This record gives sequence, structure tokens and C-alpha cells, in this order.
Amino acid sequence: MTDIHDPVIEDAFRRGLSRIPAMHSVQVRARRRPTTRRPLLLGAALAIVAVLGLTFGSIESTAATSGFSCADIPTKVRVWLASLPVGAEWHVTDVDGVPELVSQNGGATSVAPAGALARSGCVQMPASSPSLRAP
Amino acid sequence: MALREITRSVPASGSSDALTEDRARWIAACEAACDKVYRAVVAMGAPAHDAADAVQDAVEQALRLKTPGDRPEGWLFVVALRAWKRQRWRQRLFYPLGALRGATYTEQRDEQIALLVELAKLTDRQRTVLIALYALGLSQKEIARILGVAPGTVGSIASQASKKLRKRLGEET
Repeated sequence: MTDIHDPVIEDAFRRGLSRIPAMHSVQVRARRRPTTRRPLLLGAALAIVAVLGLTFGSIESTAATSGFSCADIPTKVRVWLASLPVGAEWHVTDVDGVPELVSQNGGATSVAPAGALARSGCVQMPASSPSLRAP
Repeated sequence: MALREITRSVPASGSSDALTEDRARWIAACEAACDKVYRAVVAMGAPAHDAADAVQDAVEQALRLKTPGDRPEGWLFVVALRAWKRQRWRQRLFYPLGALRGATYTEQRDEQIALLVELAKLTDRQRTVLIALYALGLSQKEIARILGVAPGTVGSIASQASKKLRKRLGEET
């Protein structure tokens, strides 16, 4: 195997590296990683929880005050309820024995994806209160 | 270097508390190699604090090795380099959050040392080979083993990189 050492480069390395300050114990002990990484991860986790909480919390509160007594309202219906304008009315109709939620808002008809709602038993036909006011 | 403190906090993987002769020799070798490896990581382009962190990580891992070798320089260099690259990746990833908190991250390189400036212009592989060869004093075979390439490849990379560096350093002076 041939010698791959170049004396000029070797000398340049000797001079160059000797100018780098030596590592000393204070730097080694004072590790910065725990102080920079942990708060970042914690902050990111809290931000995610806050965003999820705000999103689903608002939908939950809308559904809870819109006339349903059932706790297990399907998410699709919660989203539909949350999308209704304030003061919009919705009512239950019977389509071939399947209850359906319908809202008429300024002439535009909006129908909730209520199949899941019917299966969950949150609305029974005939509906006891055919027209309830959404918040 | 506070290697004694580290050895006390990191338990050896063996069953007995007493250090065997091999382990004692390995720890002494790690202690002797630390400064050399630190300078090598700085020469690779790491800021001083990051290089110190990376070497500490590597030493902690070296002390946990079940079958320590004879010469720790190459092993420590590769592990420290990986640790630094991971750290650099994290810093870049979380840079926006750091900027929001008012912290600034800059990759500081020592522009005063011509060798480091010229090394930074080489490719990563060329820089690694030259530093392993001249800063750590590893042989061609040892470099080939730690990089996972053939010894002939190391020779060819070293001669190309030396030629380039020699020309550039000659232009500087």
C-alpha cells in the first residue's frame, strides 16, 4: 500500500489545528441541549392540544345547546350544526322511515348527513319536537 | 476534560463494578483521544459548543461499549460526527420556533484559520478522509473500515483532496 501522506498538508494541519482552542471541562458540562430541546417539544405539544381543543370544543358546545339530549352525536352532524348561521332553524323529516335533519336558511335548503344520527338513536320518529332553534 | 465525572455517571455494561484492565485502558485511550476528536469535529465545520456536545455524546457511548477496541479515535470521530449532524438537523428544523423566542442560530465557522476555510470548500467525503488521516492520524485501512469503503478508494480520495487543498493553500500564502 502506497504512502498517502502529503508532508505539506500534514504541516498545514499541524499549524491549523493547533490554533483551535482546546475543549475544556466547562463546555462539556454545560450542555445546552436539554435547555433548548425540551421546551420546544413541550410548546409544540401544547399548541397542538390547544388547536384541537378550540376546534372540537366549539363544535361540542354548539351541539350541546342545539336541542339534542343524546351525548353521542355523530361528528358529521356536529359539524353540520356548527356550520348553521346563528338563529337558523332546523327540523326533523321522515324519509322512508329514516329521520333527516333539514334547515332552510334564506331559501337555501341544507340537509344534515343524518343516517348516522338515526342509527345512533339520537332522534326518534316521530320526533317529539319537530322544530328546534339552533344557537 | 471531565472524563472522570462521566465515567462515574455512566454504568459499565459488565456485571461487576470493578473496571477490568481492558476497560481501564479503553477509558484512558478515550480520554487521550477527546481533544484530538474535538479538533477534528471543529475542522469538519462544527461550532465549538456543538463539537463539545457531540464529543461528549460519543464518549458516553464509547464507555457503554461491551467490547472496546484498542484505538478509539476513529470510532469516536464517526459517532461524534453523526451526533453533530443530528443536532444541526434539529436546530435547522426548530429554527422558526427559536426565532420566535428571540434566539438566533448561526453556523459560526472560524474564518481566521485558512485551513478550516479551505477544508469547507471540499466535499464532505474528501474533508472526512483528510481529517481522519491528518488530524486523527488514522491509517488508510482504519479510515476505510470506519467509512465502509475500500482502502483503494480512501487512497484515491485522499490524493485528489490533497492536490486540491495544496493548490488552494499555496494560493493563500
